[in-house]
Amino acid sequence: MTPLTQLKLPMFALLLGLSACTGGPEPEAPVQTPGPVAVALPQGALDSTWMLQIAAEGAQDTLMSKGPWKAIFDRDYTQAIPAAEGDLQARLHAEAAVIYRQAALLQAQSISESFSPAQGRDSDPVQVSYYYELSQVILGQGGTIAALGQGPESLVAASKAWAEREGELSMATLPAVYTLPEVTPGQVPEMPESAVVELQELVGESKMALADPTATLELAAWHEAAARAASENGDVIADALIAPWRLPFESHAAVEPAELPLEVLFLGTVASAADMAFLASVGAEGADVPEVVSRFSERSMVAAALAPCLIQGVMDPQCVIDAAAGVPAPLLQAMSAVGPASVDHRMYVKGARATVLRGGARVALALGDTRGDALLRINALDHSGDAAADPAFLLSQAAWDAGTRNALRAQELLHTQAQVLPGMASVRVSLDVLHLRVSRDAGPAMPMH
Amino acid sequence: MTDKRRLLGVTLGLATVALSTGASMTFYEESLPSTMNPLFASSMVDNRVHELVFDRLYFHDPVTNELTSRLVDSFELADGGKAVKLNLAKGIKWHDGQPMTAEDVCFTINVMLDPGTPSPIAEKQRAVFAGCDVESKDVAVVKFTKIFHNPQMRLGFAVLPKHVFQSTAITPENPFANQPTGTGALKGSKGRRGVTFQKFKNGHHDAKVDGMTLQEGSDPLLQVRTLVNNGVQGIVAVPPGSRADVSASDELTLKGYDLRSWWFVAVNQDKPYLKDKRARQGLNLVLDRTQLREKAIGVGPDERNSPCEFISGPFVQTSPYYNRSVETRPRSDLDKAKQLLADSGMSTVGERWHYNGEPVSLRIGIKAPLDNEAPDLLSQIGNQLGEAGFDRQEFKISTDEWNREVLTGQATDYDLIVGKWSFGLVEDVNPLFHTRTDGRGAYNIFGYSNAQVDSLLAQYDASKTQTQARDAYHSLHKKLDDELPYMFLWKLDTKSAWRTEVRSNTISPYYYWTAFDSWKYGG
Repeated sequence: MTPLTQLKLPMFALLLGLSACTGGPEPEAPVQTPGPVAVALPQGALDSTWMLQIAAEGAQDTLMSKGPWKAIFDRDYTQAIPAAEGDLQARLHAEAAVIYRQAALLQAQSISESFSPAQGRDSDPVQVSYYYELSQVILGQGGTIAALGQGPESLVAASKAWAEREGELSMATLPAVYTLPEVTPGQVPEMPESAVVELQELVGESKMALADPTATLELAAWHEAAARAASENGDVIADALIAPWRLPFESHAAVEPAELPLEVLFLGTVASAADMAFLASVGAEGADVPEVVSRFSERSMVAAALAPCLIQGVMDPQCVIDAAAGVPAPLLQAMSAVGPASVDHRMYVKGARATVLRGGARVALALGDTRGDALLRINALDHSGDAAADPAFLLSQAAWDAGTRNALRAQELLHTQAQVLPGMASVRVSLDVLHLRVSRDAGPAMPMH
Repeated sequence: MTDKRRLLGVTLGLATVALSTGASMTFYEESLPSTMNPLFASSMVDNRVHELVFDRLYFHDPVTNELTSRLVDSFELADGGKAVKLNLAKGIKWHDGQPMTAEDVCFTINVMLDPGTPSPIAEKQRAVFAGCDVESKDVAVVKFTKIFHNPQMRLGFAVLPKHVFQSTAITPENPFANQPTGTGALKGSKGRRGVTFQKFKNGHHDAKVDGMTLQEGSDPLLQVRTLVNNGVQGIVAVPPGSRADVSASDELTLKGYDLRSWWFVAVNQDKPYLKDKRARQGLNLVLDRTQLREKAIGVGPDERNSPCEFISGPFVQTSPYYNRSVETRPRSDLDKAKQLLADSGMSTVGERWHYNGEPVSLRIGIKAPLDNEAPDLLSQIGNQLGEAGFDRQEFKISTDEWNREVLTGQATDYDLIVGKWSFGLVEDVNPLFHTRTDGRGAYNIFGYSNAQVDSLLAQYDASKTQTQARDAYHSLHKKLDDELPYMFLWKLDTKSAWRTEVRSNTISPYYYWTAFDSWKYGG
């Protein structure tokens, strides 16, 4: 039994002066390892994790001697990107590209669930047809965008550009509608204000605000280009980090683990390049999921933890939950074998539990088990706080929630990510519409004390 | 073997059996429920308990958010969309063994339509339902007052058993409030010191936990220690100050609970010295919320993604109804406060505020269970007001007194009352601020009345589009920031703690126990 004691602040936090962001009532806690589940992780899978690499004597001091690590820990990309260089800067731009992708997905799900033929209202502004069709394009559901004849200038231009676009859609062939600065590594462009417009409803005097996801997609493409230009390894880094998070309309090919330097992985919730490749490959077109799990299980910690839970082609959610709880202990043990023990290590392994749960969700979904996917996502959320708070996952979860019309949780999640990059306030505009739509449909309720 | 050893062996054996079969669990709630009758639920504790004992006709699956039903097999629109025909599932029994039928569904609607049922939620439902016809034992046709989008979403009410009531006029005093008969996963019975639940196997429920006991939580530290020692298996609401202790234990899991709760200090504007809004504005500027939050909740001023976020109106910041143009007031502004208080007619004698020659002495109350969630908040507010020159008396208000006096608008002795309101998907604040009349303003604590506010609330009710509703509440938010019937404090998120032996324990947003059938204990 663990006594009710509060642990000392982690060394990492002390080194970076992080007391402001890690302080308050909840100091870093030991990893929870409930249940007697013992998870066997192959040495090859452990060795490739950044946790083991950083545990080697002197590795952390060397790495942290340069780089905006406090801003990275805080997930403050606006501060971190200009202060980073080379591979680290490429990583941060790639992560920003992922975050804007998930933000666009959230917008698309919100719009789709608000303005679909079943959910639209007679009072909706005429221009919502553009938003709805665009959402279908982003969600990979088809969608035929017709140019708007009237409306705010930016929206008419966007609809015209999309309507004229020919050929297969990809991030590289997005129509350029909004004015963004020339791609320059180290910069963080703002969300164009013209992306948010107010549209006259057909009943009454009120105006409905909506935000064009095109601008969010353009920011994703901008940061991806910046990542590729930021260092010699930019293409490798961008491909590896973006692969697990591609949007439905993008190509989803199986990938092999890249060679990634420690600074590209450190403090990320995905522990290794092999884990990233595994997560991307599980969802690849035509993937033989059990084969992918088996193939990666010697190299990827996530795949290794999940492999015993894949029984006769079905992922057992409770087994995944137990396995995820069992992962931090062997990881910590392995860390202590390669270098001096540190209180920081407990914080570092925190994200591994959530990543295994997220991996289990991906496998379940790839196998067609949508309920297993949902159950594991919810469990992952319970372990995605503090150091394990990954903006990409939290926004992807918000998008998933919007797709299931759970606007309330989506808004809570988006709110926690409001400061990570510019423009998140405009992302919530479409979600507000969905929330209002769902809550106005619900039966009456009283305030409760 | 001595008798003592034999006894020990037997005890251990029983304990092992209990763990391996799941047996029963005990958990701490914020308080005891005030009623077991869903028509008269007024607290989140009530709501949660009812979710175990009753079935709502339709509900959102907490895992997939799919709108679904355990009681309805299929439905079809009728009367051009103004009605729905419900084909009920077969084989469902009430906890007394009687079959559940369409009669029960229609009875529940008729109870809500009966003006003799003094239920605030029934009052609201009267705008939704026009009636209900029993077509056959298993078919009910529910009639609406108008065509609604997604009509099943209006059917989220708990179904009551017709056979245990004498008429459709049901009062809170009916014995059903303590000994309810439901169709939920557990049969419940409220006692003086807790609520006991027993598994009731049914056609649509098969809980894996045999029973539960609800106990009222007290000191948060004691609650967590009892949980660590396996004296109880769960705590529904763990205060922020105790969450580190939960996280520090390998045997406990901290779990999120989606609930929108915000805290306030209601101001009694019927008191002569608080009638002028400048007096209320002055008091509002006396409060240093940053300091209150730090001392009562344990959240530092610069903490990112804090569980406790300031608000400037009756909504949480994530709500689309929250008007972001109205700024929060994290810090006090004593100079401006003094000016406003003086302008309102107060004056200082020595360093104490007086009104009409008498010292202003403020009676401040807090709902007692909130003292567990934000320890010392009452005295911290008192201290700040005291330092600003007000005499004060502090009181803890029991849940009984809250229900009996505060909710009914009879706690007029108080000047200030600290409380918390919780919401789910629907954030209807009309019952809090509308003038108490014709069933409106049901939870208007101090009888606040303002024609412009009433007009905005009416606009919200009458709005034809969601944007009109949003605009009405944005205007309301701004108006309340000026009028200050409440001094708005913060939203505070809710977390639960459960022992790791409790598995598959998905917590449903707002209702908490919707997925209880999947919960397991041990085994």
